Amino acid sequence: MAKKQKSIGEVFTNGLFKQNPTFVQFLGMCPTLAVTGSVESALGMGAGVIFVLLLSNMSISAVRNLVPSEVRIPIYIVIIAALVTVLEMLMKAFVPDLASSLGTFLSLIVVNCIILGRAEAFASKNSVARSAADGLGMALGFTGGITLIAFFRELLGAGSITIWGDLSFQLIPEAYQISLLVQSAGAFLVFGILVSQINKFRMNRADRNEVA
Amino acid sequence: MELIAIAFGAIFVNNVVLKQFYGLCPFLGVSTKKSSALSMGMAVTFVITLSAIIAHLLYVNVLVPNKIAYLSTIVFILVIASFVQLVEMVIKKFSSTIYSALGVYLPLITTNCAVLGVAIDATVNSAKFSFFDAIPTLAQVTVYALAISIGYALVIFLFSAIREEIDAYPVKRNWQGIPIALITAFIMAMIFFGFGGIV
Repeated sequence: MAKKQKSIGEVFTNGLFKQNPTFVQFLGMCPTLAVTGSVESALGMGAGVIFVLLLSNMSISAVRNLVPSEVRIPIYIVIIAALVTVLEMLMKAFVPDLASSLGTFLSLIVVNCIILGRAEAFASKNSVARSAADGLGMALGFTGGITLIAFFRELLGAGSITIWGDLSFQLIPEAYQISLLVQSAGAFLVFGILVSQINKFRMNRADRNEVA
Repeated sequence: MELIAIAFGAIFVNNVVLKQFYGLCPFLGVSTKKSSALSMGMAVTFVITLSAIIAHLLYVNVLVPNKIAYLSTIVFILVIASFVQLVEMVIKKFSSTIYSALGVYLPLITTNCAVLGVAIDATVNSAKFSFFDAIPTLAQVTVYALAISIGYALVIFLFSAIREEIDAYPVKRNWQGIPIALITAFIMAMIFFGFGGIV
């Protein structure tokens, strides 16, 4: 690396904003659209990804000098799959309702491209502490992204915001809800509009920086 | 008759991309040209069908009798990854025409969540679909997986045809690429939503 290494703080915020996996890199699109019908399931999915990505980045970084580069991908996949199995068992034991509302997407964290992508692009080349910062930043960026989508879908589609169990607020009366948005088609619409607006914001800012 | 209902439901009503949200990364990534969408669709059809059958046989005959069903996620992903590798080697050896058409798409399929998703839905989570028996039969799994992947190929091909047309029109800068593709997918999803009344 010719450039000066980024500090741990920069590595952490990189995933939150500049390289946000949901809105900038478009990684892990399947859960992004599938679990954003309610804020509760988006937060649950986010918690699962934080758990897996933090631990997988740390463990892959810890074994990075022991793994021969020809077989690294299968080894990474086994590490990730083992962590996901642990997560599945924990969720089924302690939060069974959440586990059943996430359904197959809980197991599909294994093939979420964010996790293998960070393993390959970051954890395999960096120290454990830096990989942990990167994993946490990316996972929080992902959680923030899907929670934002879920916020608009649930608020406009079901008129409510459910954070956890009974901690739910009914904000819009039934007559003014757009129930299409909580159905699967609405996910594409809300995500598309949000991406275009975030693009607009980023492009305007890039233009200003060029002029200045 | 029951199998026909499963097939129709899997292609149109429970469409893998538009309803179940599996395999979106290649759906948005590889759908800019009709030819590459068609190749991806064929590669996916082949891999989804066979890996769902293998996963089903392993689950019913090995994992459940030995009471290690909790290992299914790890076992399935390993089976899929090695199966894709095997297919790639066989194709490379026997047909260079097929390899040049499908070769680049095969490694991508390992991380296509449609493959693992369908394998899990047809085994561990089969209770999710009412049309499966308590333990789905091999015929049900085969028809379901084949129909799901035909649905995938159909939708990715239609989508790529629309995106080729969109390329010919000016789109506002901040809507170019992914956002306009998502709006297109939204309209397609609404159309497929209409099939829900039939089954």
